[in-house]
Amino acid sequence: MKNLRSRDRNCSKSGCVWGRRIRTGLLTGSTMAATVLFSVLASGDTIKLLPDRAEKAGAKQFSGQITAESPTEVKIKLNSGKEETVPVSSIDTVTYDGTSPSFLLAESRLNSGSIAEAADLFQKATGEAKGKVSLERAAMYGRARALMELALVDQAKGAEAADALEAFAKAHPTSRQVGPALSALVRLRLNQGDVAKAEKAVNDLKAKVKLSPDLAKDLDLASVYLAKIQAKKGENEAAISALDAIVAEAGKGSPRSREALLAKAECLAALQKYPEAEAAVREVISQSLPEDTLVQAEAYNTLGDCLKAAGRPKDALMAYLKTDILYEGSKEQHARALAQIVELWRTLKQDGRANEVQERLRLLYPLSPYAKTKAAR
Amino acid sequence: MISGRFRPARAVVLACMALVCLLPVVHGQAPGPEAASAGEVEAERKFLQGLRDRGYFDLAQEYSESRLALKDLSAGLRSALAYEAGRGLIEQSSITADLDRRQALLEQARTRLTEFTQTYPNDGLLPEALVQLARVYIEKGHTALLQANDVKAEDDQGKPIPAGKAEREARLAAARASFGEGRKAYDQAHTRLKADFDALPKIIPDGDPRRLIRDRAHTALMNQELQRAIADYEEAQTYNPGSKERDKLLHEASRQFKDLLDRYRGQMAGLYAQMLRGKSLEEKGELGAAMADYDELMSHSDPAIRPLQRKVGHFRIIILGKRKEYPLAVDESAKWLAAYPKERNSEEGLGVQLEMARNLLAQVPSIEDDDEKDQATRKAVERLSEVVRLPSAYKAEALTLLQQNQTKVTKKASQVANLSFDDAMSQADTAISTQDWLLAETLLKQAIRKADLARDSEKLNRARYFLAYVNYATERYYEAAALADHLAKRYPEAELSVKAADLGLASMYQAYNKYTEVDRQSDLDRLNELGGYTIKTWPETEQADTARLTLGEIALGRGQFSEAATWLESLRASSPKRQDALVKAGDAHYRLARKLKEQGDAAGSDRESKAALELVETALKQREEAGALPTDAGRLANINALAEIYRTSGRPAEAVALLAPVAQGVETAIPSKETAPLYSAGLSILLRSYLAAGEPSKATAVMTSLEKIAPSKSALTQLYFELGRSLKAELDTLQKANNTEGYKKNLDAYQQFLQALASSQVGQSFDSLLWAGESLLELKMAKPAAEILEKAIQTYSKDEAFLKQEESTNRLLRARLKLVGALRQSGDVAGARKLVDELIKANEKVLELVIEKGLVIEEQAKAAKGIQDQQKFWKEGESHWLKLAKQLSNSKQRKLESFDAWYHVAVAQQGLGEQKKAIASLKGIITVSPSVGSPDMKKKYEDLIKRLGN
Repeated sequence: MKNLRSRDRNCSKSGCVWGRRIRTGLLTGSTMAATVLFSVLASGDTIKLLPDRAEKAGAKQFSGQITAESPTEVKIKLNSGKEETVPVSSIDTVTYDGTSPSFLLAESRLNSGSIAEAADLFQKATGEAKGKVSLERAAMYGRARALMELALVDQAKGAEAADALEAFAKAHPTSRQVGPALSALVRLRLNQGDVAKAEKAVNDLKAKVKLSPDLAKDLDLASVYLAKIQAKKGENEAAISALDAIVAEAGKGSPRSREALLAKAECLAALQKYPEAEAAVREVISQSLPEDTLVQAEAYNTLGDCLKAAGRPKDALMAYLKTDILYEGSKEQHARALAQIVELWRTLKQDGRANEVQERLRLLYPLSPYAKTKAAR
Repeated sequence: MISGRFRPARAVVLACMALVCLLPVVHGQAPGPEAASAGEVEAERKFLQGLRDRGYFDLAQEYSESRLALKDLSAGLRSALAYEAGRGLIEQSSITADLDRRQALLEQARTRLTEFTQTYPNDGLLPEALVQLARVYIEKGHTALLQANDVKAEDDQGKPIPAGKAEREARLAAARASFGEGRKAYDQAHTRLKADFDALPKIIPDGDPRRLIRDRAHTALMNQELQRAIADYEEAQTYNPGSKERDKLLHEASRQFKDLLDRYRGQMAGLYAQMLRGKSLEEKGELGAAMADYDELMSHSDPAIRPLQRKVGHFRIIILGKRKEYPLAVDESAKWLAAYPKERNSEEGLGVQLEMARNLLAQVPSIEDDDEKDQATRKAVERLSEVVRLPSAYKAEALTLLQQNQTKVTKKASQVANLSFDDAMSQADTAISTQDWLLAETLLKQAIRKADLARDSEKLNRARYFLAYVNYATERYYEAAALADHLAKRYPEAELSVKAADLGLASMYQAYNKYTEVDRQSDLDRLNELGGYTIKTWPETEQADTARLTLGEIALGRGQFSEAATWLESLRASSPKRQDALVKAGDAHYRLARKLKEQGDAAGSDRESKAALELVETALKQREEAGALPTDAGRLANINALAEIYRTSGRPAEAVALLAPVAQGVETAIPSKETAPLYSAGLSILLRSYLAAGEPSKATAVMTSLEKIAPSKSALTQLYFELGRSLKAELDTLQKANNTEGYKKNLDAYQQFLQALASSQVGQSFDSLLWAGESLLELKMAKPAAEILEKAIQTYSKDEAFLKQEESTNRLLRARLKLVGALRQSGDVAGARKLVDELIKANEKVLELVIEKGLVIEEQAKAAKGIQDQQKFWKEGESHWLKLAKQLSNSKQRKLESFDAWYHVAVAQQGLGEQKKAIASLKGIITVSPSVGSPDMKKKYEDLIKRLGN
């Protein structure tokens, strides 16, 4: 058991350094089995690269001893003796030597949707990793991730998740996970409607993660969050100007550009500029990979919101159905889509269909705020 | 009871089709195609066969036709190609799953081969052509048999469906007729083949090239004799098991097989005859004798008869099952499948798998252990799942068994969650085959969860495509459309994407028709958008043609006629939907012509009419050149469209010429569910064409045909209702145009329709009854009008659904008011008076009722016998009308009614013998209002004044 390895995902495959969302990771059963087997057979740490970055780097992964981590890069001494510096934005997962079985089980539970159990197991793994900094940090971050996931479908868990994320950022301010942790915190605060705390989290993010200008152009999401905060304050016009500037600066299709476009669409919809809002969301959809669950789910839901507000119930239904059928992996967005579908079926005078979806929403996300919204009733 | 009855027959036919391939058909003694071009002929035939072997049937056919179109083709090559053109159609039919299409191809083959036998009576290929012609008939019989099998003669509760039963019998009769023709054709071939064989010397030394010719002639003769016997066996399958007819035919077939066995023992034809004798005996229930034949055949060791032994092995398993030796049958099946692993999916292999499943299931009730029971059922379900995946004669029966047993194999949530992608997909496939949609959906979602998003997009999307299909099948059209749209737009290069686009279009089309209450426009917009995308992305595909057709139909529905015509005319020439689209394009031009005419653009209207006619005529011509059958739905729709254009453009005789044969067809055949509405529409057009052509008696005769084919009484009532309304519109047009002669002719037919509608017992609606009643009243047919109005009132005043409708009270009042009029006109004045008084009590302000009451009082006065009574009613009438006239005199909107009331005041005064007073009343009004509201009213006044003696 000595050789079991700790493994945590760095970020989304969309390549952001501290992506605004925390990925659950989508390990299939066979992937998990292979991971365990690999863990038993191999020793040392492993950094697995994102597929597109692997192609550029000429290697799928680096194995050896991780010597240093920062919010922007990870250094590893390879088994050959050579030193490599890997940008955090290129990392898919990191696997540490000496991972406890509790950590592996926690990952597995998280991936299979048993999030509460995963949070407890990560807590246990944190205790087991005392003295092993990387492992302890990975486990602590894992728990914060799990709690955040839980908060997305259970409003009551919001405070606990925020505490865990804040605690992590405070305990590990120079870790590679601090970016994703603070991004998650911003999102959580915005969901809670706490603009001041959201603003504080963005400022922390800006302070702790210093990206080079090249990287910042495509990956710095703090500026997008600030525009979102403006919008939350009702300053939609100002937010749109800021977001337009970001879109103009960011590379087309980059995470920053996508985030900005989505935020802009929301602002435009709030100003009842539906055609422009629709155009912005459709741009995000076409620029993103069709299987990028997190981005597509949110984009289609935003599209649905725009279309619904524009008095196009069937078009809106089609948009929400895409989230329901294609991107149910994004729990929060899935619950949001289901609630809207319930309402739209009622608009279409199809109460039977509405009741059916309502039942599904209650069954899948009994604690989700969306299950309690007017739309879902 | 009948299901699965035809299964053994199909197996035998296939066995013998294989025999046809084994035995080369002789060209006979005649030199055949010109000696100089014999090599060329062989090369051409080989090339054509090569194309067909690779599945290029269309190409082979096109090639033959293009060569035959050449003028300088050698005679030998021409005859060979003419023969191949017919034979190719048979081959093509054998791989065509659509039974109607298969029949059409066989009919074309029959025509071509008959032409060949008549054009080339001395050609070397004639014997072969005769055999093939006979084969066409047998195949036609088979196909009719399969069509009969497809007809649902019982409902889900096992109750007979009369129409289905009749259709089934009609199909079986057609099958028997074809087998009969096949027998005749084999007899005809026999004469020629025997003559060829007898003409050869009986003893020919080894090495003599004539030896080969004689052997071939002998083989061809044996083959023909065998096929002839098979025709009887086949026909037996068209009768119920145990029936006299079936036993008689089986007996005759087995006699012929025995004769062949005796004459050709030791030769391949003899061995096949023995196998078929065994089969005939088995079906007669003589299992022991049949098994003896099979055992003997299995004892041969010659490798050449392995294919035959494979079939015999299958038949042996059937006998074991019939003997209830279930475990043995399962063992034999397992051995068979192990011995012929490559044949698992062949027709016989599927038959063996079905037998295995059937015999496994037969053992289940006697198994005590639940796990063992489950295991046996699971094994059987696995076998059945294999069988239903491929088209075969066994599929229907396997599907029934699968539906009965699949649910017994438990699918717990945990079991599904443990399935791999491939297992989930495989089980989903089976669930789809058995239409267990809920299970299919669960399994497909599991497959999607198990697919790796990044690496297995093809697999993932396959699962999504099937999920879209399941959603479509369960009428979740928006869900299906969302998935299909994603696949089509985000993965345009993927294999299934074009199909997904097609499914998306179909889903959106259905959604448009299903969710009609809200936001329908957006359904059409989405259809347009996906249709446009499909055409742009995959322009040279059938799916793009479907999209073109759909976009055309949408534009047509929106009244965008030019755009509709453009889309509909843009289908590729090779599209099977091309003719349908041309007919619809014709409709678009035709409607545009009418619109332009209304707008006064006569030249534009003529141009569009001409375009419409050309398109519809072209479509019909193309169909007929392609050999469309008289009962083909597309052809019928095409004829209807063309006839309607003829009729409405003043060419009724041409419409009649087109439709009269269709009407004759109704006399001799029972239309299918699909074609019945087309026949109805055609007969309606024919009826109106007869009227327009001045032949009302023929129009009446068409009504009899309409009654015969109407799918239900209610449909017939609806048809009469619609037809009656359109006739009334035509009558009005004739009257307006002062066409007295035309009006009179149409009036008779119109009256007949009204009476037919009135006497319909079912399918009436309140509107149809009211309309018929009012229309009869208008034609002064008061008594039937009263009857039908009473029926409407009695029925609908108690109908809760009707009473909940908007305006139902007013609609009933209107019917009652009309009933008062009908009673009054039919002489039941007391009844009319009673009713009108009742109605006025509750509706005293309804003017029409007050007027009607005045009219009733007048009739009462006229009908009263004693002077005293008459005077009483006239007095009442005068007072009634006077009161009304005064009430209306200040109303600007009711001026005409006011003048009419004054008129009736004068009538009452006349009745009271107060002529001068009456004249004074009328003249007083004229003095104040010289026009009296309208010329008609003025004339009425003047006429009365004249009658009053002034």
